[in-house]
Amino acid sequence: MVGRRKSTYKIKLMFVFWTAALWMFVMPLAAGAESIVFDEAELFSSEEKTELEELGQKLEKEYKMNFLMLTIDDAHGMSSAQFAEEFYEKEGYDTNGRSGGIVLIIDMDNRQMNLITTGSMIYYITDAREERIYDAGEDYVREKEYADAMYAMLRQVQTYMEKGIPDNQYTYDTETGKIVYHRSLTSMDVLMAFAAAFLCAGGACFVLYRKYSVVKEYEYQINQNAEINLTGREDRLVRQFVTQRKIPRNPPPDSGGIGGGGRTSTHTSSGGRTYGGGHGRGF
Amino acid sequence: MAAVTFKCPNCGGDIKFDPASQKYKCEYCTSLFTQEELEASNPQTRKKEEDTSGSEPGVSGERDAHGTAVVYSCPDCGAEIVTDETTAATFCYYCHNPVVLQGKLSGEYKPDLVIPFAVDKKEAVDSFLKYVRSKKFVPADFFCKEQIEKISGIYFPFWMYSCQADGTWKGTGNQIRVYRMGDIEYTETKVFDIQRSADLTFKNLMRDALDKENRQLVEAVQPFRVEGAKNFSMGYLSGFQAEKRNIEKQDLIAGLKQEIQEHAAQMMKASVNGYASASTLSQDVWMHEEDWKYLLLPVWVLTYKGMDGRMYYYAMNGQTKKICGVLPVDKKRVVTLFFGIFVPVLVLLLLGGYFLW
Repeated sequence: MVGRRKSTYKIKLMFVFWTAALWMFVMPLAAGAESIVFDEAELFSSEEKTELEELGQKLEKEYKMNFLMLTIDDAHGMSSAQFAEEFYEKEGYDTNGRSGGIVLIIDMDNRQMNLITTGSMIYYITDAREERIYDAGEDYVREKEYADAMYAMLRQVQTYMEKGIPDNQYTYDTETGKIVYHRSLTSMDVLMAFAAAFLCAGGACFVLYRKYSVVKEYEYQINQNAEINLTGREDRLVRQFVTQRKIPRNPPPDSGGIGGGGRTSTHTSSGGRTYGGGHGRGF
Repeated sequence: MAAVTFKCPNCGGDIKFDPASQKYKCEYCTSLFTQEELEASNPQTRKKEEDTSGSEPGVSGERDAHGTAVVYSCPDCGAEIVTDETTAATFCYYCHNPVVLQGKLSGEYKPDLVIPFAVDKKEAVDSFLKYVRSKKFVPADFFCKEQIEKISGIYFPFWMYSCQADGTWKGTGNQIRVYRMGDIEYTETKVFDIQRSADLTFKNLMRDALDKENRQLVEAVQPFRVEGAKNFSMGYLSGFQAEKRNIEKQDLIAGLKQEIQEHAAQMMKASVNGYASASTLSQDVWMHEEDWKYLLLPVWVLTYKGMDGRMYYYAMNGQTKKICGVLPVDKKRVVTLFFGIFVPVLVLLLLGGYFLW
């Protein structure tokens, strides 16, 4: 009797253990596989969608931010940016614990490519970079190669994520005119500061050691002890030539465009959240 | 024996050269005498100087078995004074009276000039203490006054070389003009052949004429003010130690010629102006009217055994007080210096990186 009760208890324990194990392994996989491509306008083939998902998931994993791609054929009377913002908040991306995100949108209703950024992503995607992202997708979208356009834009976002936050980045609130400079120190900044401080301190100690341990040799003072009286002087021109070059006029990349190099223009959504981007480009 | 001491005509005490008054002073009755008065009252020293004027160096004393030390008799107490071959003035080890060994500095070894000590021992000790106390990274307990008071005033032999030179310098120079027309920037380059000829005068190139361990230090306390040099007289050595030369001018001429050529080329090239850049193709320098002077220069020398057990050597210019020597460094103070710079610079850079860049 006692042996049977023990066996039932063992089976129950095993069931609880395997259920817990399954939950622990399957849930993260399920969470990781959550779709980030929302092709409501049905512009992508399943292969194209998979390709976009793969790159987007990779970026999400690396930067711990939301990288969403959205196509719509009905904006319900809203602008592309407004639709993207409402989508972001309605689907709960603003509260999923990530530090920020970006929504790339191809809006067939308003015939526009657009993007919105929020949270930390605002620092990465300045107005100038936003324009370069549209540039990357523009040719494709005009050729109706929407998946290629989305992929090119996402790759451009990836490039900027790798480059990091621009040194001169600042946030400009278009509603209040308030400017906030982004202040941060990257690990490279800290490393360089350490190296420079070490060089300064080490250099000073080295100079001190040399000053104390090396006897400086006396050098003959020409100015005080020697005189020169020139008796002959000849300067003969032997050849002459002219070289030329065209002065470059193109401004350096990322220095022009909307709002200057480091500016990110922001606004507040109807939900009260701050977003960057939203300038869009028609097609 | 050619060892002499100078005596006071008033009391018969020993006379030393006094750097402060630049006269001769009796240590006992404090009387001061000029060069002429000293020679008039000590005619035997002049006679001995003349007697030994043709003698070879070192023969005025007796060489020991090894040929490196020479023995003299002290004129005051008769004790034996053992010196090395280059010593020309010293003190008797027994009665501590100053002794000048005349034979060492006569004939071809007689110096043409001497720059007398202008800094006396007390001033030298004070200057040295001031110097070491101004060095903030020397261990606090490194120097003790008792050791510093063992400082010795020594006349070191030097060769002084002066000459006239004729020189020519040939080279090329570029003149560059940049101008713009529309979107085009033009760079016009003119290339010139340049030639300069010059008469040059070089005065007072000094070379240490004594090959001893502290040679580098003794050379490093230069420059001396040569205008303060006097015609040599044995009396200047009284109260100090002195060395005679063991390097001859023919040993130095090659190095001096090289140095003169470099200086001459540098001076002639410096006269080339109005060019963006100039480079040397060839240079020739011919020296003539060469003049050599053998002179004794005043140096205070201190050999110091540090608290760390190491020997330290210092030299001070006996005319200008310039000091040379290696100083020990207090490691704790250097570590403090390191972090005293490292931490503020790091904080400043991090703040700058955060707020400005």
